[in-house]
Amino acid sequence: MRFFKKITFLLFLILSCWSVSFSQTGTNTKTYSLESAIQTAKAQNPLGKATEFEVQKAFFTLKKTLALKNTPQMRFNLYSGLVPEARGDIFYSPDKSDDLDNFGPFIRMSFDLVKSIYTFGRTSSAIEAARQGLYMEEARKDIVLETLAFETVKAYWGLSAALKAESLGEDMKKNYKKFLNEVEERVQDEESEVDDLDLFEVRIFNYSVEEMVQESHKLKTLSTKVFNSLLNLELNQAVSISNEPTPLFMFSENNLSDVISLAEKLRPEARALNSALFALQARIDLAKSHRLPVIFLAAGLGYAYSPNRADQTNPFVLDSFNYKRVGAAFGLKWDANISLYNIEIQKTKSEYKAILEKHNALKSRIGVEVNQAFAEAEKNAVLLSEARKALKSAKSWIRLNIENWELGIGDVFRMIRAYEAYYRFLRLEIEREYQNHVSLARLAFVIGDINIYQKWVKNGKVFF
Amino acid sequence: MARFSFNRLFTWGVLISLGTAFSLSPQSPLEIIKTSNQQVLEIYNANEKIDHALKNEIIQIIESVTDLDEISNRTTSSFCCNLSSEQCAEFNQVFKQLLRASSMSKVGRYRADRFEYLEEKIEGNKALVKTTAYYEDEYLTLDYLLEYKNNKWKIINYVTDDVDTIRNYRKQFIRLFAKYTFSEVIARLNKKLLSLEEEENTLNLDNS
Repeated sequence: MRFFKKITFLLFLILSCWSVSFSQTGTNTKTYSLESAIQTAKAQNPLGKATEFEVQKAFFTLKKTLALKNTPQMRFNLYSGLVPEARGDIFYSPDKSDDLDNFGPFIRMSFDLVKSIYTFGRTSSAIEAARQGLYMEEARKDIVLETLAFETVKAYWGLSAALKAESLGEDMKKNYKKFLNEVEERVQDEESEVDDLDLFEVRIFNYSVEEMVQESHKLKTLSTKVFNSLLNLELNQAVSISNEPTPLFMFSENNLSDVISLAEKLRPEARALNSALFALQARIDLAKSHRLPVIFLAAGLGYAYSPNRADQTNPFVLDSFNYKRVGAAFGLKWDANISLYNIEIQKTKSEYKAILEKHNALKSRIGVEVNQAFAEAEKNAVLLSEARKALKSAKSWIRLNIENWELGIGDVFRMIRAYEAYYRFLRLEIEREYQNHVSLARLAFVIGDINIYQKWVKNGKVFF
Repeated sequence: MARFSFNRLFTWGVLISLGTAFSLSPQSPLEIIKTSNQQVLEIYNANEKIDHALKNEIIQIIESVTDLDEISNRTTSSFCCNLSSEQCAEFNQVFKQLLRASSMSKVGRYRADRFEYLEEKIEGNKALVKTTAYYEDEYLTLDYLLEYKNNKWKIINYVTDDVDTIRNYRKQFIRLFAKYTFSEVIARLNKKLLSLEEEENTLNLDNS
């Protein structure tokens, strides 16, 4: 009879434990899908916004350079004020140059225009440098956005794992407390077969339950803060996330060289360095063009009028207060500091070579990173699959124990062990799901496009 | 909150493995399983609550496709040689009653949503029907072993997630007989039987 009493209460407790539910979403809790979380982080995170402004800055630099090419340099001057009276002409005047009386108004205007006609490549090099500068900033922006997206994926699955772990922990704690109380009561019951050995086993596992509960609470708080921080939300704002499928990893290592080639094209760092190389080449061309002259067209208009000063009509007399002038000319401007520009060319060539070496180093690093990320993703896919198999076995273990107990042929210790294994693998499955998603996201990240990972999640399998 | 659905599935397998199909002409093993599953599913779908009468109806369906004697004999065959013929007969009797009582107590508690019928293999008078039972997002593989006897296919064993039910029962009894005497084991089975019957009677009284 003791045996049956023992298995009946254990059976009841174990059955009552198998109800893992997730916390309800409150009315103020916003739910994010993986896609909406990434989009929000990219749009709202200050780092993302800052890079957008950097791109704008580079865009206006290009716009200014283009404007300099098409628009001539123009200058308009206007002066007005009071001036002492001056009568007569250069042969006779009743006034002296130091007379400061009979002040009257004056106005003086001038408009000058200079337009480069031929710059020997200076303008086009400047435009090319500015254009590549813009591309470089766009690639830098992509680096920041890709990093943000990757961090968001980690935070998303971190939060998902934390929420599941918290729910599981609460469920375990609630049911295990009942279980522990029952065991304690049954130990005191002389009719029961449950003894102190059972109680010790249950008490020892209780520590693991409490540890998991505490860790899950802490993990949820931290994960929520990290997630909210990335999405630029209030740190303590309640958020929930939707469940996304785990993509099946069915990709063969044989096709990895194609993936590496793809990564070399897609990685924003590679694009940034490429643009830097083009920009430096343009700067070398610009420095070379500085050694050559610039041919330009200049034109100007001038007008001055002062009523209390006699107008001087003699064309050889320079009158600063009464005149009308117009003129235009072709010109040539040449900076003779050629040696300085030679030094500038050498300096920029060195920069170019340095960036070229960095580009080569990046190519080799990309290969290593893709290989590492692939191996990690493959390993995590296998471990997740094995964890799920183990969990299924733990479920079968419990099921079989229940079946045996319901027929009166079960074993108490086996039931406790099955129970422990079931919760251990439920927890492990959560961890493995997190690791699996993060490693797949890392693989997409090192390839250079986190959207690839999103496609995998959407389609439920890893493909290229 | 729902109880752990995997056990619902499993017990469904147990129930169906003890199930029946009302048919006058000999049905194929697959048809037997399909029909009995369908009949039980219809009862579940048509009734929110499974009362005593419905339980009996389900058990009738279940028992008419299941050879309980064969299941019991196959379970006890390995250790009956160490028992006297009276002990073996007593053991078989108690075990069969326990299987029935256990099935009765499970009816209504557990169910599957649907079944996938994968394969039917017939070799002589033996047949294997492979299925997958689903409950929400859980599933388990459930293979039925049937024997053709008296112009009818009947379930004589089932394998759930690679666990052979009869082999499992047999191993448990071997373990128990290694630890306890025959009379102690029989006493346990009788007590369990009594407790299941009492539980069922209490439920009937509560329902009435």
